[in-house]
Amino acid sequence: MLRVTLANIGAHKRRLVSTFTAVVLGVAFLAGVLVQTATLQHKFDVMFDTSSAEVDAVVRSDRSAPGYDDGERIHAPLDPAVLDRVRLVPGVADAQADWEGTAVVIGADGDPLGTNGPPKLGLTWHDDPELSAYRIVDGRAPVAPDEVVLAVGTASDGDLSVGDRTTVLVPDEVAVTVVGLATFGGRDSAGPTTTALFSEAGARAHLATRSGGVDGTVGLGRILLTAAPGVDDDTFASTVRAAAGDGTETLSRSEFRAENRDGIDDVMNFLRPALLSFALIALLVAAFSIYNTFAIIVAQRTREAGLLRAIGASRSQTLRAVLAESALVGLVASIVGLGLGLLVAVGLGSLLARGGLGLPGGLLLAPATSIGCVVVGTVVTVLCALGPAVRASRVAPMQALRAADVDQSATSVVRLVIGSLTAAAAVVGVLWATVGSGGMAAGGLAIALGVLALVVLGPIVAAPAGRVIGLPLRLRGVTGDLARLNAVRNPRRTASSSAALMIGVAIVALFTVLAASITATVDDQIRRQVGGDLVVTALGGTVPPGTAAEVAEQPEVATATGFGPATLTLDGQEEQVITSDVPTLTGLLETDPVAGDMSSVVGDRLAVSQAEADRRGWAVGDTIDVERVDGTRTELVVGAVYRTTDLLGDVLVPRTVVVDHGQPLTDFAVMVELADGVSVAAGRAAIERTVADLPTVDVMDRDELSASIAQEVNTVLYLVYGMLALSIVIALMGIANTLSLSTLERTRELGLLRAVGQTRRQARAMIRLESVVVAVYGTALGMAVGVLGAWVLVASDTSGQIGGFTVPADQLAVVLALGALAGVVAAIRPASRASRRQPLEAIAGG
Amino acid sequence: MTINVPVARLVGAEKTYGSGPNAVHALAGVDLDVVGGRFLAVMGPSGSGKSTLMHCLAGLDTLTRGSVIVGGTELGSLSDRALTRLRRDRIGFVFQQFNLIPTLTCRENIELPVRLAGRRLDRAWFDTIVGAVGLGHRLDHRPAELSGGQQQRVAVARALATKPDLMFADEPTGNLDSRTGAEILAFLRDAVDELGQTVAMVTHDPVASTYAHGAVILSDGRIVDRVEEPTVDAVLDLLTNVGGLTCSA
Repeated sequence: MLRVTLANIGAHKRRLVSTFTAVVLGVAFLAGVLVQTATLQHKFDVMFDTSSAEVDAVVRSDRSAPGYDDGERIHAPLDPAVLDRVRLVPGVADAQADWEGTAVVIGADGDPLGTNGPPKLGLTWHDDPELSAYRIVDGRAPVAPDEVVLAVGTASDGDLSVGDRTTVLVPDEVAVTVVGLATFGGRDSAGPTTTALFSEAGARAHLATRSGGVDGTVGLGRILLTAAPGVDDDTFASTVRAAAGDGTETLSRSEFRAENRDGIDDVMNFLRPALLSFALIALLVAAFSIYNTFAIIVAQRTREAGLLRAIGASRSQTLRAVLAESALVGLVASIVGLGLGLLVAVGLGSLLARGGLGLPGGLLLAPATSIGCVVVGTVVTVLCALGPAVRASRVAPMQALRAADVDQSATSVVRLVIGSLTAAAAVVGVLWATVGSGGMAAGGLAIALGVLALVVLGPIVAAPAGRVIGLPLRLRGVTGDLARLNAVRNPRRTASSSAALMIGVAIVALFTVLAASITATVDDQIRRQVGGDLVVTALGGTVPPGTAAEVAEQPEVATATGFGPATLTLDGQEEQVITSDVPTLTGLLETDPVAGDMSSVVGDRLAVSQAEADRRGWAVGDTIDVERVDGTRTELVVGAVYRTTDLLGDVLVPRTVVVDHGQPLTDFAVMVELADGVSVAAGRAAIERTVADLPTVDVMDRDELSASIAQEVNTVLYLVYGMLALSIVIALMGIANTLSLSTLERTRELGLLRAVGQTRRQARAMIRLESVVVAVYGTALGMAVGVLGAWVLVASDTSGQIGGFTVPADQLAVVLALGALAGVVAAIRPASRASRRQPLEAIAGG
Repeated sequence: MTINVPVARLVGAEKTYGSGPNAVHALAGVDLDVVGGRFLAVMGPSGSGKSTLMHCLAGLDTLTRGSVIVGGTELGSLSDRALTRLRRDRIGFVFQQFNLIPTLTCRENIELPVRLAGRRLDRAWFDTIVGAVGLGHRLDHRPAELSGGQQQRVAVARALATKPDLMFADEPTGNLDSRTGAEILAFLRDAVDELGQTVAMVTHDPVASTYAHGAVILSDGRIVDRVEEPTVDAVLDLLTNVGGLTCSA
């Protein structure tokens, strides 16, 4: 039987091409994702291990400073006395003060370096090589506060070299001289980051502003320590911890490394499942194509199988023959797919690099990844062939020999019952998610069940649905009629070849609708909440201190006020609060007050959100005990309760409460209202002049603000489209292949049509229109599922991030048109092959 | 249709497959007039070239040398498109089997060539041909629901639908039992006698040839004999002469 198997593969090469390609593409995507994520993980691990250098312990304050740096807590400044104490601890080889911060380097062309995303690091230079992975390769170490060493990569990006003068934003402008260039662990830079290294004096002067000063004295960021040889890591850490004393926390060597990796693990834990799910979708779509191809091939071979059975092959032998064939095809295709996967990994890598996750270096192909991908590809192929193979083996020998192309009855009662039950379960899931308390998880489950129900019911739905979709084809006369009838003549085949497309389109539609809903919600929020004319924002969300005051001084500006972060301990609980000139801000941002008076929130008053008031049991008039980061205390009275927290957070405090108490006041944004009679263009020109010396600062009107947020959402959407493109391509190849095999089955019929007067053009149009009906059916079904699914998710969203369900009709119309166009494209080859066939060949073939 | 005017002619028709010493001459110089308003039987043993002759005459195949003229048009110079149009508008076909499109009803099958041309079938003519083949009550059935004989009747009706200059029948009774076959042959003869059609039929069955006005006998790509008002005995004799009886049937 093996020889029969091999001979079959040889004889049906062309028919297997699409199975082969589907497996190759599916496995390639899977392999690409696995290889790229493993590589990325490895590179980040190496990078963070490198950046941890040979540091054996870290001491820092156990309190937080206001704001976040890349989502991480910033620690309050450390008392310099701690450094003197830990230096005396036995076993300490070296202990140095260290500051980390953000430092945007301005390139030779005046533009800030780095992309929005990866950190722009401002670090402290250490002469002790055990404390830093940076090594000077050109020039010298920084000494004066205005001297910096740049990473080699950063310098070349900015076209800067040793001796050049430039500006660094920390976020205040600092004029610096580049005195040296350094490598990071032997590389030009630490991944996609930019790096500027300051001397200890420079770091204390510039980077410490973020960490703040206490009572006018500048605290330390943290202390890095190395142990003398032979000292045990944990013992060392506990000795240091004891010496450091109250108000500090000490990390051991391994804790420091683990924390450094934490941040990237968060990214990877999000990225890996996200990428994997797209790979699995591609594989699922590929599975439909594989199943369909085998179903058709086996159907066409029923005669052959019958003959084999008639001459004595057993049922299990015919079954084995098909399975062996699928296993062989699956294995070879998976190996090819694995190879192609490396290319996919490279492509993914550059896609991720655009998102700020790029790291230089080669790919990491673990043996487990290779074996896993090949096994998955082969198993999926064999499983897909199993159904058709079992069906073929059940055929009685004589029945098979007699067999004509009888339509398999698709409407089985079992199918109807299972499908209906699944559909019912999906409806229950939808109710649980939207009306009940199931939330988004239940919504997702309901969507999956819905798709499953459609796949099961597909063969039953396909014929009537195809007939309806094909109705406009009546206008094309008999060619259209024939196309429409052909599209539904084998409902099971129509259903499974369109199911692949359905799944791809459903996800496209889902994300399109979700993105539109999010954008519309944000747009609505901005329109409702932002009352001013213009908004001043900055790269990294930090508008330099003093900007608001400068802007407010312009004659074109009526009022301008910023709002930014601060840390306060309220009734014993440390919280991130927003500070601002509250009455002015209330005029520029809708706060939706529910109690008290926002304009009264000055002096010793504060405002809290409804949610915060409920949580803490506060009401207007209550007095709250407040401790500032410098340890001073005061009491504040709740002056108002408001509802809108999207931009303002839970606690609003007047600037005067915090200013001069150890926290520099930067702004997230500055809201501007122009003076009467000043046009937006004129006002904007005036503000842009004011901030011209601040390269990171941007002036936007409300439309631009919502457009900039919409753009961020759309960037994600396009990334999703990119990931789904491969699935859609596989689905289309499946449709093309099904069409090819179907026309091959209908050779005689096509010949007859040509003999009685169908022109080549009509033959092509007939096949093309058939393909369009199948493609539009799959697209329409997918769109229905996607839109409904998006509605379920929006309706079950309890976080309130997506307020309204918005269907972007124009975008969906484009998707539908593309679906129809895809049908045309899929039909190009089958149609031209079928129309080129001479009518006589077909008739003689009978 | 005027009697005795040829609606189709073959002049010096040659058809060669392959080249050099392996060349097979399916047609080795055939001259034939298909006269309007008559029923012509083309006979011969297997491999005599009768099918090739018909395919060339019907624009389904091209000649190596010589010419085919249908209704005054020389087919050799026509493009695929023009040939298709000629088949659609001026020639009707009845094949041995697989004559009908399985997805279309009988009515739709009959109307197919006319609708492919983008026209509507003349109602009166439709009733005439449907009446002639006796199918009125089964028009909305699909081919799979009909017997082989009924399917061939639909095929005859379809061939007549465009009022063709010429109808070709290629072993139209080959797949039928003798009684049903006789019915089909009678329909073809009626189409000539009563509807004024012209029919050329390829067959190797001497009985079938008796329904024709005349018969030509082919052997090795040449016309070796012609008979007017053929009888079974006369045709049998001629076929025996060319060795047809041992090779065919």
